[in-house]
Amino acid sequence: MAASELVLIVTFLFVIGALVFVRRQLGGDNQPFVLRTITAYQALRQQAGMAVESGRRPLLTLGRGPLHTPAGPASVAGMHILQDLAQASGSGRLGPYVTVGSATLLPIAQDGLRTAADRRGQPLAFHPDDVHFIADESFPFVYAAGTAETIGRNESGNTIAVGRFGTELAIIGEAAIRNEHQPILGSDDSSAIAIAFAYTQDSLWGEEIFAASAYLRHSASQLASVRVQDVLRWLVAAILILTALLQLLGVF
Amino acid sequence: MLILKRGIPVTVAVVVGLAALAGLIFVPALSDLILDWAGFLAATALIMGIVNLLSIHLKRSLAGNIYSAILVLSLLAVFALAATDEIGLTQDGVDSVFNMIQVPLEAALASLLAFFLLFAGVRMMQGRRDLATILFLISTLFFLLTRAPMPETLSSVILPVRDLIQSIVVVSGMRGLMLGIALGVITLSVRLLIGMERPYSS
Repeated sequence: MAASELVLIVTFLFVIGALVFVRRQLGGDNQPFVLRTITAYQALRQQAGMAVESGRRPLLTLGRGPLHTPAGPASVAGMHILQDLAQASGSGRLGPYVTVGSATLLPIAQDGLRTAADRRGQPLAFHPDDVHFIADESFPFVYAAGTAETIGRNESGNTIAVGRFGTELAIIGEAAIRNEHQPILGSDDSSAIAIAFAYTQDSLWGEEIFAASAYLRHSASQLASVRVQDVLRWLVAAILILTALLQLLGVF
Repeated sequence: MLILKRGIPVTVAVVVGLAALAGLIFVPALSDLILDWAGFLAATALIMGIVNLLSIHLKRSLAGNIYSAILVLSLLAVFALAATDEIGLTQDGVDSVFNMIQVPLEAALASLLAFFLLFAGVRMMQGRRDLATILFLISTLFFLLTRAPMPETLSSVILPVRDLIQSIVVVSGMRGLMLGIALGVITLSVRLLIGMERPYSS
């Protein structure tokens, strides 16, 4: 067995063990837990309420990360936001209007909206056309232009873009600003993170997008995940410092 | 019934996920097979996507949206061209359309980015005056100016400083960001693999 495979197995087992342990430590689903403030999640919390008040639905765009590729986790993080916005929306079709830049996200986003409508006891509020496939992931600028056009149709109350984006996020951000939105932009790509910072104060940087479910739902399993992420971060930092010190001392 | 409805998707997702992971380490052929299936499902999803695109834009066309009408007509024209390419009536029709229309349009959109970012920077300075914004602006101006041609005497002083900032501050910041993302991906993936996270309905 190669060293990389061994590291994979050890990491996998460690994360499972840590998740189960921390989940038990936290106890019930309503256990209080202090998370640092992320303004983008606070702004997101207000979106559903604003949609109900103004009667204008938020536009959520999930990026162009196919589910079966390494970009999949970023898209799953965007799905958490979709589920939260859809469940928190009031009566009628005030849930988010969704655009996707990968066909694999289309059925899962439609499923998320359908489930939320069922849970609210309003199955007729779901409409398949509430999710709009814009372009395949191979054409990022076409996807961004299509999403910008949707924003420009002036149907949406605000723009939320969370998932896998690259530099094309600038086109979406620009369209949102021109329509007087206060966009919430988040990505796991470094070039998109810099662009998101330029466009809005409510940006989600890298790992912050993966904490969406913990911030929005506060359930013990999701909070446990954030704790485990913190433990892993300290562990990696310790390994880096130790390795640097050992190299300085000439051990290897 | 509810248990079946909830249990089946979770069981399928967990079993397939763990099999793909185990296959990656012990039986690569199994992992490849599962990825092939995923690729096939993604292709099926693309067909669904095209139907969704056509359905939405057909409705908009009927409501009088000229751009949607152009999109529908273009989509049908490219389909027709693909068919005539296939039966030999035309040659490389789809490739020609792609190279003559799609590629220049994408390039034009990409070239707009510089202007969008310039406007975003100006707006940011007007609206936000915190430490992060000032640092962002100083670093942007510094890196832009140091990439411009300059006299030898000036470049011999400034370029080593720029390289030092780039190799220490920028690289360490980027690596920190990448490590955070990797840890987020690992924990989310493990949660998906053990069924703790379910982006699908259950």
